[in-house]
Amino acid sequence: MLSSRAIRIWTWLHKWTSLICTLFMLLLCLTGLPLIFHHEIGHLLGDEIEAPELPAAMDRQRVSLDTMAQAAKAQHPQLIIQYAGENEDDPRLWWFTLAATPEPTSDYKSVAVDARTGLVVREYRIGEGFMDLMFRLHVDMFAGLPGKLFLGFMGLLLLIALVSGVVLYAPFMRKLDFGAVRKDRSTRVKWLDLHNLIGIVTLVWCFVVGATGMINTWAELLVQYWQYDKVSALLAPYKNQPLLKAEERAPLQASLDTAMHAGDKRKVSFIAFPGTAFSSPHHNTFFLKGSTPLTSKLLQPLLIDARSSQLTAAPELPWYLTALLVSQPLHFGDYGGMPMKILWALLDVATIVVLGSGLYLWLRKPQGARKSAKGVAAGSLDEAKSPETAAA
Amino acid sequence: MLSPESRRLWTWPIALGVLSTSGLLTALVSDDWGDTWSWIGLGVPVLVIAWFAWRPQRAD
Repeated sequence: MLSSRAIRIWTWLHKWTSLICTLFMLLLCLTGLPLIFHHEIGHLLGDEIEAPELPAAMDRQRVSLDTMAQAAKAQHPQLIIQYAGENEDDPRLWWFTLAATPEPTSDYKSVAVDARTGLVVREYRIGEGFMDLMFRLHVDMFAGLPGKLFLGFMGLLLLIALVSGVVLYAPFMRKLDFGAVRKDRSTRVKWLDLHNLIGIVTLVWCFVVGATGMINTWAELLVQYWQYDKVSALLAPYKNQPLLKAEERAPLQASLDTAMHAGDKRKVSFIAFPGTAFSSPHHNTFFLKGSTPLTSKLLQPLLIDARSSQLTAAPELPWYLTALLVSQPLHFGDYGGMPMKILWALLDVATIVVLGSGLYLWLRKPQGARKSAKGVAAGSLDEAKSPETAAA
Repeated sequence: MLSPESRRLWTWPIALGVLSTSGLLTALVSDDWGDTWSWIGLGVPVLVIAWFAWRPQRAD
């Protein structure tokens, strides 16, 4: 059993870690709720892009990657293509993102091209609308990398609050049956019981979503570290070479053919073109993926010389990026069909109740709680009038 | 081994934790039985919350 001193320390930890992160966690829970259903909502709002109806015989037909890239570029002749990839849900569509520079930017265009005909289908809506607002508030609060890392730190506080909450569960529940909600007592006692019940039942889900969300905030830093640590050595022969000019580049299809030949995975997750954050000034970097639920999360990078279309290197993805990619669905809840999304939403709402009740319990701290909490130190918790006094 | 008191306290939380964990993991590795199990693994905790939060108070 915990000593009374230990209880006080854990209580202090639980109170302060929760209080600091609660408002941000409420923001994340509220904005995360519509994001669980972003596909369905996008569909309703008409933001999702559908492949045009064509004879089924054409489904497997593909124009060259160069034809698709030219079509995308024709939409925005003054911009350059940064990334491209096969649509995750419909292999008949490819997306191309274009920006004024190869550097990372939130100011970009995204064009959907029909892989069967090489015709532009439509542009994705970027940086506008309700879902984009939810997304930006959820990911970085419009503050870029510092915003992300800040939310990641709030996630860390949440994890500490969860662990300390579990430790405190024992002294609070010692005299109670599992799930007891004392509705015949004060409102505060009822909410204390609900806080303990919902908190302990959603614990694993909340911990997993919180931890994977925190890890996600480090994605950019992890990619940069990998490039510095491993990729830079592989690119040593190309060191200090300027960005390869467009007219010096070989046809993209030749790169794609090399990738399909060299890789042991068969689907293109995305291609990073020369000069972008995921490539070098001299390479088309292909990230291939498998087609089973698990291998579709595991990317294989292939660095292909954009001038010669020869394979320069096929570095292994490091364990930390693999861990990041595999953990992402555990944050999004998008890997178990609609029933899982609904459960994700219900657990999200349950978490909002835990956050809200925790805040309420702190605000409605009974008069003199501080004194009696000290009094508790002498005996055990249940000798005190009730756990409600110690909850502050 | 857990003391009888700890067992009384922790049996339910541990059982629900293991169930949730299994549900979160099976859907990652399989798209058929794994998905179905994940609905049970995550659905039961949701039902447990609903049951204890809204069940009528006992008469005693």
